[in-house]
Amino acid sequence: MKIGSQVSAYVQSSKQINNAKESGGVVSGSKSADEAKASPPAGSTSVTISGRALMLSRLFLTEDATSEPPVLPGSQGMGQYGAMLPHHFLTRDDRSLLAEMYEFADEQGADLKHVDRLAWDLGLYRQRNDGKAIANFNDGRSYDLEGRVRTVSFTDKDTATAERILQSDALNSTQLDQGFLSYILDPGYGFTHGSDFEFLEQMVTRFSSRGSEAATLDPKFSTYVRIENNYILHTADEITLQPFEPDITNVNGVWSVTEKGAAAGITLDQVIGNTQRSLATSAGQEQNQYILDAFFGKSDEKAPERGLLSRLIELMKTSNTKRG
Amino acid sequence: MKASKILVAGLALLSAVISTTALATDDTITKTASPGSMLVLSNGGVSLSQFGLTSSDFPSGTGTKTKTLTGIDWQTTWYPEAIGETLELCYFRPYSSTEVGCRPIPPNSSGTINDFNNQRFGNGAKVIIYHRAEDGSRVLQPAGQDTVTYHYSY
Repeated sequence: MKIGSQVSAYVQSSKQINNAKESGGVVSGSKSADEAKASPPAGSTSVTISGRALMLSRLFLTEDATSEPPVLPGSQGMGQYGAMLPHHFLTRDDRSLLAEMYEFADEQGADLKHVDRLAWDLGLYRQRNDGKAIANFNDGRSYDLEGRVRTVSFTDKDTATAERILQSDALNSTQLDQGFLSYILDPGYGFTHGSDFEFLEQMVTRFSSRGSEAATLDPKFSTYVRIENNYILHTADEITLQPFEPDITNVNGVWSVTEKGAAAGITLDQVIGNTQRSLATSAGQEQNQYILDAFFGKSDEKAPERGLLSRLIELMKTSNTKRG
Repeated sequence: MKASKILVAGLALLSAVISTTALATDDTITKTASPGSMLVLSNGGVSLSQFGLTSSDFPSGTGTKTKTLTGIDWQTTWYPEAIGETLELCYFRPYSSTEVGCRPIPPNSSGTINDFNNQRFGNGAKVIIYHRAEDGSRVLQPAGQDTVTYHYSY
């Protein structure tokens, strides 16, 4: 199978996103005094907001630390709680770590949307039951409608960054969940990631035993730029999933019998009728009954309708009777 | 006489097997639904489209037949004003609120999956397509509708 000969043209369009909530802007008027790390000095109007307050305000839109939503179970994240936002599935440890990231990013003058997007990706991983509820797009079972296998890959830049993270010395000691990193850096799972992998790389290092190597953030993170369609979709040349040819179709309640179905003796009356007769298989069942009737000498009321096979059996039975 | 009876019984059995195999019926059910408007706050938004099956979706007289899912086609819409839209298609066995599994799918695209072909299928089974947006401008409208086609045999 040759994959990659057809690459969908995904335009690398970028959307500039203004950080609507400047650092601490939403919580600047917060009454949660315990969330403020320090009181402003006399004569100053600046307020330092704790990472935890930032985390609560940005992820849960609350300024009240006592109203932090409970952690929802990822085991029910796609069914019972499928309509909930991913943030609700972040564990206590996740939330604590994200609070530290918000604080660090805020101190460094970074656009806090970088942390928002990382929180979204981590929350979605939790909502997907730590990735167990979701299939890998590259497992060879994603097809286009013609039956050709499709796969996805990161852009060259993201691929290089992902490899750097996975080979970094900080990986083994980072506080970021190893399972999450394996998941989000695998294009089959992470192709729709919102987080900037270069920012993720900084966080992996910063919150590891090698944190001093990422003591400051590059000024480029002062702005968040969302890259739309930041993946490449590949379609194989050959068709490996044969088309399904139905006998009967039901399109939003409108029934049709295809040519194939009609050739098999199926009629629209059978499909939508009130009869309990079970379509084409009923013919087969009737023929089987004729065979058994012929052999065991049951009622021959339906003899005129019998097929060749039942008549042949009857002849054999007659022949045996004569010999006996 | 005995040998002849065995022969005939064997023929009957063979015929029954052949007729059952040859007369398997292949059907499709196509459903279209809108995921509706999506309220997106600064921390994101979610909407979904559901494709549940009831007895009226299946041909008359097939209610008791064991049905085998042989594939699911999907075609998704998208929210043009959404930022960071992601989609998942999840399959649920009949009358179950816990998904069998989900697959990430791109917005505004189409495809086929056969992940769930060995799963129970029939009345009460459903597919849900989740649309999630990381950001956007308040209330977003989809460009169109989502469509799911179930392929099955019985």
